Amino acid sequence: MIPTQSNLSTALQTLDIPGTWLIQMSDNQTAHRRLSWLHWIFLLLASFGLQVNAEESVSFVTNIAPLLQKHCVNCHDAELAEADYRLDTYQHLMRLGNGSPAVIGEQPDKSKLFQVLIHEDEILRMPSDSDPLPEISINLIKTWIQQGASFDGSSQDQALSSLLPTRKHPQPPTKYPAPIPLSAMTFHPSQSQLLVSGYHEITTWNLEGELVNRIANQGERTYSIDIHPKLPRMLTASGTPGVMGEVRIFDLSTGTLVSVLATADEVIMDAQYSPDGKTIAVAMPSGSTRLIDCETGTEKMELLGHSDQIFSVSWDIDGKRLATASRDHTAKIFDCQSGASVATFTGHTKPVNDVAFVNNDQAISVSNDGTAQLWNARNGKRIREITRSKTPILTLAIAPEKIAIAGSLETQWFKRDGIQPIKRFNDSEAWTTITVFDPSGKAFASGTQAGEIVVRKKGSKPIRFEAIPGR
Amino acid sequence: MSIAAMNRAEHWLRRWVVLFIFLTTSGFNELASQHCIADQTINQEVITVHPATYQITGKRDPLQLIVTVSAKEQTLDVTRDCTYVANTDAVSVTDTGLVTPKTNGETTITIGWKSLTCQATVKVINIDKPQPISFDYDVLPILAQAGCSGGSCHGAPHGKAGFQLSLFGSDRELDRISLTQELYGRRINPIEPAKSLLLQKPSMQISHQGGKRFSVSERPYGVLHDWISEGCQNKKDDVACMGIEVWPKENRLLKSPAWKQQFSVIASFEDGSKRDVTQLAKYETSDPLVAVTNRTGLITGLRRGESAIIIRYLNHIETPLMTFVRDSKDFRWTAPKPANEIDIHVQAKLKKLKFLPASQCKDNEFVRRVFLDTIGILPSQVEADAFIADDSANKRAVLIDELLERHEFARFWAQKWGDLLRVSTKLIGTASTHKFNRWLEHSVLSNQPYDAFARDILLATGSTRQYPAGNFYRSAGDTSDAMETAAQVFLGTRIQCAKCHNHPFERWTQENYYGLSAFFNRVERSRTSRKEEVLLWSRDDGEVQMPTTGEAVKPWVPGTDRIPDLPGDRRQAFAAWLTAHENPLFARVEVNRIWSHLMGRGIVEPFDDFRDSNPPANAPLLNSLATKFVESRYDRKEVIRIILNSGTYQASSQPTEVDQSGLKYASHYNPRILTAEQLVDALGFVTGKPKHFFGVPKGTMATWLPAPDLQPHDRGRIGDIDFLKVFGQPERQSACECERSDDVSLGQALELINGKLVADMLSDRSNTFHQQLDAGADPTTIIESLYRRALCRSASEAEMKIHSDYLAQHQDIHLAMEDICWAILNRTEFLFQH
Repeated sequence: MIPTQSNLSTALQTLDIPGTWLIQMSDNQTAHRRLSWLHWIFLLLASFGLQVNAEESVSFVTNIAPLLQKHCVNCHDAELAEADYRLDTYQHLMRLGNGSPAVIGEQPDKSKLFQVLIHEDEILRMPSDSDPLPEISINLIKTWIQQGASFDGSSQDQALSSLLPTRKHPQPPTKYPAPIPLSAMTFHPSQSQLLVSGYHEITTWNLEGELVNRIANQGERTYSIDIHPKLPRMLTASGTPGVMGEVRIFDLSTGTLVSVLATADEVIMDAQYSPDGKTIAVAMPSGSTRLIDCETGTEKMELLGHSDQIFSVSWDIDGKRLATASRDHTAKIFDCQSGASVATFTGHTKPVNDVAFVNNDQAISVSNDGTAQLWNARNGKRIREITRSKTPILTLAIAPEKIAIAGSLETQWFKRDGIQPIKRFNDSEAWTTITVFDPSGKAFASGTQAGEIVVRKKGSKPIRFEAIPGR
Repeated sequence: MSIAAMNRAEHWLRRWVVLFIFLTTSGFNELASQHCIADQTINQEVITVHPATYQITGKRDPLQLIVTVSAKEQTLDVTRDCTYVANTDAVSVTDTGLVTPKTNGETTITIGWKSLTCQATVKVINIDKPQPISFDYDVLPILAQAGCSGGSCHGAPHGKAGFQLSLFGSDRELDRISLTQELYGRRINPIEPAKSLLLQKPSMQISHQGGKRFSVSERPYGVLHDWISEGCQNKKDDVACMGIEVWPKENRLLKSPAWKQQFSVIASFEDGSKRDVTQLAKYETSDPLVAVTNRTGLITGLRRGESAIIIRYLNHIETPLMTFVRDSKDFRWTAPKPANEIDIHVQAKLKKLKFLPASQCKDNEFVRRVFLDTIGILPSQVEADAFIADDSANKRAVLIDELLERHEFARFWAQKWGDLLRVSTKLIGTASTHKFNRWLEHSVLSNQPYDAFARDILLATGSTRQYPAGNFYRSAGDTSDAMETAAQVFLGTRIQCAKCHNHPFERWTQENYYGLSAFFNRVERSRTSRKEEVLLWSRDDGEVQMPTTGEAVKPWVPGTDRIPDLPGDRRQAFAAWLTAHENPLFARVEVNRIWSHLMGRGIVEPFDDFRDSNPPANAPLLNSLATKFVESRYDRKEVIRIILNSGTYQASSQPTEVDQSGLKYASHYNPRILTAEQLVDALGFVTGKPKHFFGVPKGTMATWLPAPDLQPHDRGRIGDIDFLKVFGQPERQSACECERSDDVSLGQALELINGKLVADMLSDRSNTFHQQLDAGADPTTIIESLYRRALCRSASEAEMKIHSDYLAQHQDIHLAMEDICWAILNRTEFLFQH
């Protein structure tokens, strides 16, 4: 799953930053030089075979990788590797677990990968326990093998999911027929607007509940929205459940896509700028956390240690350490210089939904086990249980002086210093799924499963509205 | 409307039999439960349709018609072979008999099969009325039917792939959260329902480790899709589902090639309404080798035999029995003359299924078999010879009577009870183990009536030193354990599952579990200063609480709601109910257990797992034995005697046909490997070097051992392999007889080929054949006597030649004889009883 530089250049094709163009250019040139003579021979050979149907040439990246990703990788990935066979990279899919070839170029009938797709015995046919692939897909794979089963991506060991070309996502509906659960929300730098997760879009609402802007070309659901500390850039973690995940950066002033920084085969739940805006931490579904350099788009480090999906990442004040919350029931602190896990909190009994630093020494985490726990960020030891309820606690929000903890039907405010309760709200009918303070801590917004937003500002009545375009 | 139907049909028919059954119709629901069976006979063939009159409410639920042709001794499901003609456009009918409502109105459907016809009248109302998908009555059942909430998929205790459902939808709140709320509602797409994970995964539009559960065109997809489109309504339904009516109701016998049967399931609700839930119910078979089911309620036979069809909708379960036979013209029934009632029942079943019973076994086979089954050991050469030489007609019956009076019989059968009651030094201590075992042995020896035996155990009071049966409450050290053990041993019921959730295959609910526990909750166990002594007594109070609600649960027993709630010791009420003659389970469970010990397979199998979904292979046989048992005042020895004297027990282990599947119905004797204890004794007997055991007097046989753990655990001996354990001797950790393993393992093969026990017995110079060689006996005589002891027969000429040649080739006659004996001991004929 470690992306290489060349891998990223593919993903960065849509970048409009001149610096990144240069990187891509130079990278391509090297590759071209290295392969030039081989390339010519290949073209020469290929031209004989393809004279008749030159226009039907099948590309691994455009035609085959999406097919395999959709139908095969779920069971033949690094984790499950059914039948000791992996299909998650080109390198892997060419060989069976025992080392013998799975694909023999130009000979589909002798290629195991092709044989199993058309096997007469239903039990042996792939995909297992399902209908055969559509004929058109089978023919594509056959043709690809007939044409030599070659690889037209940049690196043979990169995950298929990251090979896929940059997606153009479908347009969101003008009017939503039903509310969609709110999963991400943040204050616009102007502080007078909220950026909210929509369906295939980010919607912008003023604090009176009017829809003011829509930013499309986004994955189905958005799970986090973060604003660059200095630049007009919006960082989003998103994806389509069960299908793919992405980290996308948009220009906040124009609403256009700037870059796609990471992709995965499952939704990405969180991505956060470091306090200096130079690094992005990405919570990967595989359980690792990637640190990506903002300027170059390259991966600086991969933080390993969790055994399941990461739900949330959170920087400390100096941007030296990162707190992570995982489905594996633990939260961790990583040192971002060394990449080491320096503390692990094991006091939750169910998936940990959110985590944040209270100060340099303490962290707070909330979990499906219904508790919020305060713990020592240096050694992972529990300091105390802050609250406990029968239903999951989903989200945390931090302001300079306050902390908000939202349980399913109740939201509580605590003083940041000493974590003493200040207030509680339980006026929501649906689960509160997301909460956020504006940077000054004077405004607070919470969103629900049913698409409702409540904005609370000191000295004025709470404002409620449904963040559902067209309602 | 029925009169009209009759008039229209009249000129088609030669003879009419019209039957009206008016069932109650409630005011609220529109279903006119007029239940009419119109039939017509041609050449004794009668065609009927079910239901003949039905009212479909709304557009959701299609009606499944079942068309049956009955002729002499033959019932034929022709649902899929008929023509269906509807006289209006109110409905459309598929060629599988599925009636889909289209518009409001009444339709007569004329059904034709060959020259026979009949009619069904279907009225459709409220087609335009909204009919939202119900979370409880549509969504949860369909997830169970599609297998999603099964125990090996998302219904597993921690779910699968991060998605957890409750087992078969038993916890609606958990399921509601998992489906609609967890992870920001990722499984539901409210904007574009068809893109929901909940639909795309099981229909394999997105790859799914659980495989394809349904296609887009199937009912589960439709139900889930509509539910999502309607906004995932999940308010709890106020109207309770009262039960289901399954059609065909009665057990059916299907002759090949017509091994298909369509079922229909109609659920009725508290408000009087009815729904056809045929496509929402879940279908399973008790014997997957005999029949398979599909989601539309079609059952297909695979081979001869019987299988219960387990039909479940919500927590309502029906289990009709299907019998599949071959319609072979050249089948000629021949059978030995029945020796007693057992044979009559077994042969009736075999005849019905067209299996031929095996012929009778030979005398030498019988003598070996009956010794092993009654007293656990092989007959001596003298005993076997005397029996074979005897030419009186009733010699088998005489031998059986003799064996049942031997002391070894009591010891061997006490050990079987020791397994069930978990007699082990680990649980009750060494002294108590010996005492309890002696008590069990005495109970068998004195042929204590079984009801008295059960009462002695269950009602045990006072000091366990004075009253050894009380050790039952030491092995079963708390309320749940005592109840579960009692239920398993005396009711043949594995109720443990219901502790945490409603039983997945049975009617048992969690409340039943705690209702049964209430009988045992007042038993107190007080330790005294004396070693291994516990005083048993009963408090006058103490209620069991439901873990979910915290409410006290009243004592409950299956099959009756009139169990007296006596003050004080409630065990009295339980024991009285248990041992009452009319208790259907008590006698059946015990005769089934005895049958299983003697025949190697229960009439109900597994033999301590009685439930509707696991029917007996031969119900009349089980009933007859149980009746005899009750009539004999629970005389266990008498039941054993009846079985041993039957032609069924005395049948050859060679089936008459190549097909072995008649074994389930006792077409032939079930050959099986000796138990661990029998095997050790047999090896010792053949070599003349019986194994000695720790903690018991010299001469104690393995089949008499009071417990498997008399020898204290010794860390230094950790690498030692215990021959008995390898061959499946149970540790007595659970009351399940399944703990005694009959699996064949590589370890067993290694033990027999070159294990220490066998090697020591063979190489011991003081063993029988070495001594005979030393005394100068003729090697062929020695070989012959080995054959007699091990196999109860003479060596054949060919066998003897092989052995003689082998001896001639080897210098060391002692070593060569060891090899020959080793070869005999490794023969299947020795290792098995047959």
